[in-house]
Amino acid sequence: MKGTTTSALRCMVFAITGAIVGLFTMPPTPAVAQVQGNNAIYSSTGSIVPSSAFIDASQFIGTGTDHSGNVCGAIYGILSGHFPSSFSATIGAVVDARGISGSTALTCPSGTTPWSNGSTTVSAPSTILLPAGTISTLSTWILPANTHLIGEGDGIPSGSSTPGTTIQAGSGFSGSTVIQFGSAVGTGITVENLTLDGQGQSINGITNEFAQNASYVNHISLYRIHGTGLLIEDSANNSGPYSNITFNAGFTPPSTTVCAQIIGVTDGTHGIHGLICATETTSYPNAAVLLDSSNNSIEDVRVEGFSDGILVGEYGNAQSNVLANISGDTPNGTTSVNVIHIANVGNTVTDLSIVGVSNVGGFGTITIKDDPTSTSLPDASVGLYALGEQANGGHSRFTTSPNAATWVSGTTAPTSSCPASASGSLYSNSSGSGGNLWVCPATTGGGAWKNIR
Amino acid sequence: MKITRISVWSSWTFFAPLICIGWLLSVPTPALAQCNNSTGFNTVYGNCRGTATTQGSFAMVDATQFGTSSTDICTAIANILATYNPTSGGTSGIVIDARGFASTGLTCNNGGVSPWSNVSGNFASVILLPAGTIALYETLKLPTNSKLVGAGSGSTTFRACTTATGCSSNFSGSDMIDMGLGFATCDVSTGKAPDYPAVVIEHLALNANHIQNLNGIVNDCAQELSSVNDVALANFAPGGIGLWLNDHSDNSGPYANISYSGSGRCAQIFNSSTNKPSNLNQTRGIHGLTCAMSGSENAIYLDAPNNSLEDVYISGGSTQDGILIGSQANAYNNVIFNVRGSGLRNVIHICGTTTCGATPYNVTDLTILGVGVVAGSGDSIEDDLTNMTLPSPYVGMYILGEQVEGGSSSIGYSRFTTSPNGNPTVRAATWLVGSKPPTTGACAAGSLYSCTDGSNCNTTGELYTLWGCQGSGGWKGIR
Repeated sequence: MKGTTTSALRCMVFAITGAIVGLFTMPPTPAVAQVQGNNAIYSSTGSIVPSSAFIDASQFIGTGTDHSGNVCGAIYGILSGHFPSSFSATIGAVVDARGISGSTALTCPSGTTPWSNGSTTVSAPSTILLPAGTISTLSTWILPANTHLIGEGDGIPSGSSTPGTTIQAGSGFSGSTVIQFGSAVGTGITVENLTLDGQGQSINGITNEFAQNASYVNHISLYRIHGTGLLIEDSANNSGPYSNITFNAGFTPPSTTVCAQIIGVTDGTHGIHGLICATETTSYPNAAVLLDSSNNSIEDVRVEGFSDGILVGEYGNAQSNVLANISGDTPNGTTSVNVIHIANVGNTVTDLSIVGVSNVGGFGTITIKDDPTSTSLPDASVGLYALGEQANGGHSRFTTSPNAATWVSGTTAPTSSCPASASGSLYSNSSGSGGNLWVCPATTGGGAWKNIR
Repeated sequence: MKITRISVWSSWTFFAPLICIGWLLSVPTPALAQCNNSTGFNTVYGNCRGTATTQGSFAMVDATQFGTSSTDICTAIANILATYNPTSGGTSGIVIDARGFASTGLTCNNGGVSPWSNVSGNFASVILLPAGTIALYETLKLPTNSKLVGAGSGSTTFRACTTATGCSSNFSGSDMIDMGLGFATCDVSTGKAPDYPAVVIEHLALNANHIQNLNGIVNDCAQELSSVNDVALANFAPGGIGLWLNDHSDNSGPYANISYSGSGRCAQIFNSSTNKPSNLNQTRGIHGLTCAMSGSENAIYLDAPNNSLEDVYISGGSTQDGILIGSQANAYNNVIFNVRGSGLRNVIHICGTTTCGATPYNVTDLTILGVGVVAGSGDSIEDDLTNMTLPSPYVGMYILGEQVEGGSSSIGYSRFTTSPNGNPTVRAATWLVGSKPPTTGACAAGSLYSCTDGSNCNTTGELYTLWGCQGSGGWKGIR
């Protein structure tokens, strides 16, 4: 009896001990099944539970099943559903890859991007947060609709500055552009806060041929891109704005290197707003910005190191465009330098409004060169230049530059002569005496203002 | 001996648990309940009683732990705001992460009360919304310092509720989102505070679900630091306005990267004539707007001073105007550039004093740069004030100044355009420049032509620099 009691007591004590030890040593088990890469949060009971607010891609870096050795493979594994996560191919998710580091993990092998593995592609919507550092790639990143690619900051590398996130086209890059907006007409593609480094290859930086509404670029640096930094073409209607873009071609770019081009977009875009185009050479590429499309706005632009700042209508019709706050800072080299150059090569260029152009490139540079009207304005700055349409053998046009036909207002009758470049100008004398309206005569070499009676 | 052995064993087995319990209680284990493991807090590694362990971080509070269901995000948001706002002894602000909610079956149903209704003062909140469609039962009224951020205008959608589309009740209210707490709270004519600053809406879509008279985003009184970016507005019905900047939204904006589809109005900027003179409803503009119009309503109503509309595309029908200016209130000193229209009656329509309604309003000092008709046979600009219609597919510049008095009556308006065209017979007076004298052909009466090359400007043995168009009489040199 005593033995029975002792045994029972012993069993009870062990049971209590086991339960207590088990209670204290047991991890705070999630109330629901853990999902790899999910964020961890505290529940109302104090236990740690997963949240699908975002998926941490660093948990998929490694070897073996459900892992990849590089950031592209890890993201692709999540987006494609090959790796077990809470990702929904229909709704998408936020994929946080900021925890991935190291040159090996940041090197994407040929044929692998976050959205492709060989010939297999995924098109799920997502927000991708890229890590700081340089991600090397050998293939074009084709972003599907409703994809938001966000880095940790952009910039042009220098001795004292390293950009936050760089996507670098490795030697032997196989595509024609580093990033492509979609492969068919769609919406909602954005790229922000990162740098693209072409390493001097003749490739494009960002190409948008298909993405329309809600597709834009913000805070992007384009470095050593020797093709076209930003190419907007064809079906990219109503895309943009393309904002806060810094382009630096680096050393020895070919003459065909272009900072940005808009061409053949039928319905127009929401414009390029905030653009710096520069090179680090005295052998200037031909043109920084090519505007060969209608219904666009380009504003807040600075150009340094190109023969033409903005070349309008060289490769396509360009009508009803607005250019505002354009600054050129290219010294006069061996060729002519124009901040804005309106081409006359057979394409239609009409209804172009230019507001605020300046030229700090020094002697011999032209602020606006208008080939259709054979006008060159050497002014350091021009407030307004509006080129309308052809009519009656001339062009409707108005400019505030005194180096072309303009309208001058004064409070006395003009006494000095006017230059030949200002022939056709009007002068309004508001004093009420000495003649009210005057014209600058079209005599060779200019001459004295003539009163219109 | 056996007894002794049992006694020793019994003693050990009796005391062992006590020793164990004592040890467990005395060691600074990750005593989570005594450190920071507040509900919904993000888990990070920290130092709790001298030991590195997981702890909660207030950096983000996950809304999934505050809901009454796995799908109602607004009740969860309301619960968090009620828990942490200053009146509850909370902090000065919070980031609420609702991205962890289930991706299907989402609702926003806080019993007809905006989730921010418990917020007072300047409590700041950032709400991160999940991707997916959220059935919206009530108006979201965003107070000062509130930021609503989705996963993208193609990913996060609030859809106004109807029972026909699976909701338990229909949407209550006239607006889907109010920037500020609604007109009644900020009408200066009633002495209410006019400003709820720093209200931001980004990366989401509003689906009005074809509900009549339902507005999308209405800003009655959110001013400085308030803006909208990357927002899609879809399925709006007649009587509804997608983006309505009403009366006291001064200095708010820009309203950027917005797309709209529906048969209501795409956008309106309105300044009531009963406003105090200091309230002009001048904003930082709408920059980047696409309006896909069905029905018969005009797309954009501009009825306030000192605004900019930039990078706008409007498609619609042949009875619709793209931008209608001055039909509801005075509109002066506005700037419009890069506007394209497709299929419209007019891309831009400037109302005369009574051509758009019985009540006269004034439109002056309007600058338009870059207008295009990309499809259809409509006009670029109809200006009722100067009786001018420009049919050309493109207009570079059209600047309407102010009325010019002659004696006691108006004799016209100061105006300049680069368009040499007009419709049907009246052309716009412009100024042409050429290196040779003007050729024959139609010209707008009153236009000027400057011949700029002296070697080419002789005609009939006389040099003319300046020419004037006499209408059907052609050009005549001016001596």
